[in-house]
Amino acid sequence: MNVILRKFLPALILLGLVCLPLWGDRFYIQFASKILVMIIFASSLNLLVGFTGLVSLGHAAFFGFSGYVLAILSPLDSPMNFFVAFLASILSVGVLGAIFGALVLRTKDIFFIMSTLALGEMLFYFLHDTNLAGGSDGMYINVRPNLSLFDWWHLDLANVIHFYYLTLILLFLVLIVIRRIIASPFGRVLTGIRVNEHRTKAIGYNTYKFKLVCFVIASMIAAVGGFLAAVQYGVVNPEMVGWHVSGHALMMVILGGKGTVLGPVLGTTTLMLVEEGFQMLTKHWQLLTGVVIVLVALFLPKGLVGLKIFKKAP
Amino acid sequence: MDAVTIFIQAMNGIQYGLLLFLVASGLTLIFGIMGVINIAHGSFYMIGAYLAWSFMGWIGNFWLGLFVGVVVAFVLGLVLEFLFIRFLYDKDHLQQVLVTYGLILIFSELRSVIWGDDVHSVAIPALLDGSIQLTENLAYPVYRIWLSSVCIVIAILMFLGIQHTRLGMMIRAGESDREMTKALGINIGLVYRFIFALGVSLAAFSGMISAPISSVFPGMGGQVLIVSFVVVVIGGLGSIKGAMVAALLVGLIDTFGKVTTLHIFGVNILPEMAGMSIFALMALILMFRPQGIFGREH
Amino acid sequence: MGSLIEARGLTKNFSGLAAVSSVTLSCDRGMIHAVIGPNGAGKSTLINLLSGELRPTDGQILVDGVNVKGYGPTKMSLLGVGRSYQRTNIYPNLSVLENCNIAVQSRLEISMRFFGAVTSYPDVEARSKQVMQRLQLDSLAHKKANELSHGEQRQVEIALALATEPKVLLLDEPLAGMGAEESLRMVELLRNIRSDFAMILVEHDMDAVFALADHLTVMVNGEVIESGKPEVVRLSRRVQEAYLGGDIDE
Repeated sequence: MNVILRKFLPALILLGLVCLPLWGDRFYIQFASKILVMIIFASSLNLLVGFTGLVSLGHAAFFGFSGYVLAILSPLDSPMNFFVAFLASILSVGVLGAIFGALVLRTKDIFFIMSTLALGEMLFYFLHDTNLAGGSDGMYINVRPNLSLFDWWHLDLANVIHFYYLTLILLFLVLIVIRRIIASPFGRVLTGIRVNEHRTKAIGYNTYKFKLVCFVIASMIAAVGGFLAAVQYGVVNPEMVGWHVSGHALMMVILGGKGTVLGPVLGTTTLMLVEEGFQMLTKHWQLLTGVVIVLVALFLPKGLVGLKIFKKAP
Repeated sequence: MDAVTIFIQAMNGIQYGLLLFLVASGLTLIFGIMGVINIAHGSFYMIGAYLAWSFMGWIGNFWLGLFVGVVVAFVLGLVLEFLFIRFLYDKDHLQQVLVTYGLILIFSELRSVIWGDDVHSVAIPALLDGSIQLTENLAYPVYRIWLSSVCIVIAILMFLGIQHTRLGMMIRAGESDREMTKALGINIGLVYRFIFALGVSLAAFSGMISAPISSVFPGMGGQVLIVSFVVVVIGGLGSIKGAMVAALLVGLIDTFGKVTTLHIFGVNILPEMAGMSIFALMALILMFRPQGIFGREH
Repeated sequence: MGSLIEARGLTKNFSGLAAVSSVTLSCDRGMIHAVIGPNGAGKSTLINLLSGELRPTDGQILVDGVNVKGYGPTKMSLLGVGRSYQRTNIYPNLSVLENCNIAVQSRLEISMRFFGAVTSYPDVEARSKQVMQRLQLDSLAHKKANELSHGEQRQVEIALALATEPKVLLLDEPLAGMGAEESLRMVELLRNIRSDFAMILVEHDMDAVFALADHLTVMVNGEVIESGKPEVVRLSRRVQEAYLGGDIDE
């Protein structure tokens, strides 16, 4: 039974995802889109945490900043070209990632965690305290970007269903990209850095360079998620670069199981569904989330992926 | 700015720095000795402030409230170490970050359940109410002077303790090596429990004594945590001396940043971007001396 | 006859304590130069200096004539200096093959490729297989390194250094923790590969030292007290006194 399930389960899930808009109502489709966007973000963080061993508590800086770039570039009353906006956001974040990375990667372990947290907060204060980007109120994206190909095919990003499919497609692309990176010679060096950075340096690798490139890639993938989030909500605010968003994503990565492509998918979906359930129970739902996190961290260090049902048959 | 204003701002900056030192030293001690990164440390500062508000309100006396609050915080520290922290000693940093992040959420919500989400204030005790006249126009609050003095006394006690006790020897060596500590004839479980409770008490105490001059509000834990991290990164991990120097630097820069005016090419740098000034300093340290001022080479 | 690696007056002070004091030695290709001495003699510090992990307080290191002042371990490795560690320093949860692959890949200039799968670079595995064969690890290729016996892990330890195609091999107690049979096997392996490298060997196992060394340097308290052919050095009175005041073979 397990073997049959294992073979067809991925296809079934895929089918379910593709057909979701047919049987789900507006609220569920929007919620599903939210989850997909967070999976993109969590997957980008997993590249750092799970595959390279770099625990960042400031990754939301790239997620949120991407949306801000879109908001800043978007004209007040007309749509931007989607591809231009998308590219501009991703590349801007790439530059930010290079600057932040160059600084924080000079540190290790605890220092690295603290530095990433602090730099992320620096960006928060920059956005919150100054008027350059709307201050504490944030900015609106009055008109969502216009996504059309050669004038004959057009997606309306304000439409919940269109947005869902765009997000689904981008998520697949992101997962494929991450998978390829991991399986590449570059990915092999990342693994070496994660498992034993000292020896990896001693056999001739400039590990700082590799970590920096990985950091920039991860920041740009996070930017994909942030761009989509901004498009979905139509608004950006400083909280989107805050450490609570970073910490939340870290939970998703660990819950699912770091170091696997599937982990963030499982972890994000599970955590967001569980939280939605908690929110219906009590207004102090974060208490329950906190308990879940502590329990998972203490007793399930390998995450959901480590559970027996996901183990491959011997 | 005239000389008196500069003096007052400097006093304020030092006072803020000294409070930060109490919090940051707890953080760096816990990490230096036990190898545990506790990001819920800021929550203890918040808990201290709320405890102060409660106890001082019930008891009606600042000093008694303070005393009870510190005792409660110390016991809380002992309990926490026993329930959660002692499982983290040989785990990797990611796991430690996760467990303590969960604790942040739990503490935040418990605070919300017990005390609500309002902002509160605590009255300055009568004994310390009032100001010292500096010039004809400017006076400096007695309470702030008292606050700084208390922090300095605690700092001195800490330095003395580190220089003259076996425990202090451990701290100076920067060892979180349990084998070596056992060899010194110390019961390690109890030592760790004590140190953790001490760290918690320091942070809570800091929150309590700062309550009369800053407000008691939900986000104060997160705020002080971030700044503590900046202090530790600048000062160097595991170094009490570094924590003091960095805390004072951070306190002064933050305070002066908020009252200075700086415009470059038409862009308002200060005081608008004052919140970023301490991070700018941290970025500089990361660029030129990533191990911190007093830290060891990585 | 030039040397592939040469130390001249090498000194390292730690807070006033001289761990290594004015050490001069050299080693050429095909030669095995063993460094012995009681515990605390500074042998590991010497290796750390030669591999670039420590900066010397004074003195020079030349690799193939090049002054490597200021070179860290990464640069030294790229220059052709490979080293193995006294405490096993491998990739424990990866397979033996993958351990070698990582090391081998460092010389192939493909490490910045993101998109091609590793399987599209057959060179890597081919070279790894060669390295494993030289160290008799090929039957263990797919076993996880932390599932190997101690002796086998020590072989992987050396394989990692070998896989970087060095000119110079610095081996820090390769036989550490090995039983008699494993030690014999390791000595044989080292003998088989000796002709391709300048090998500096720090060891406590005297049987191995006398079986392998062409040249012997004895260090005590950071200083070289004797250096020369093994048969000559072993008869030196100073050396015998340094070793427990008795025969060097004890």
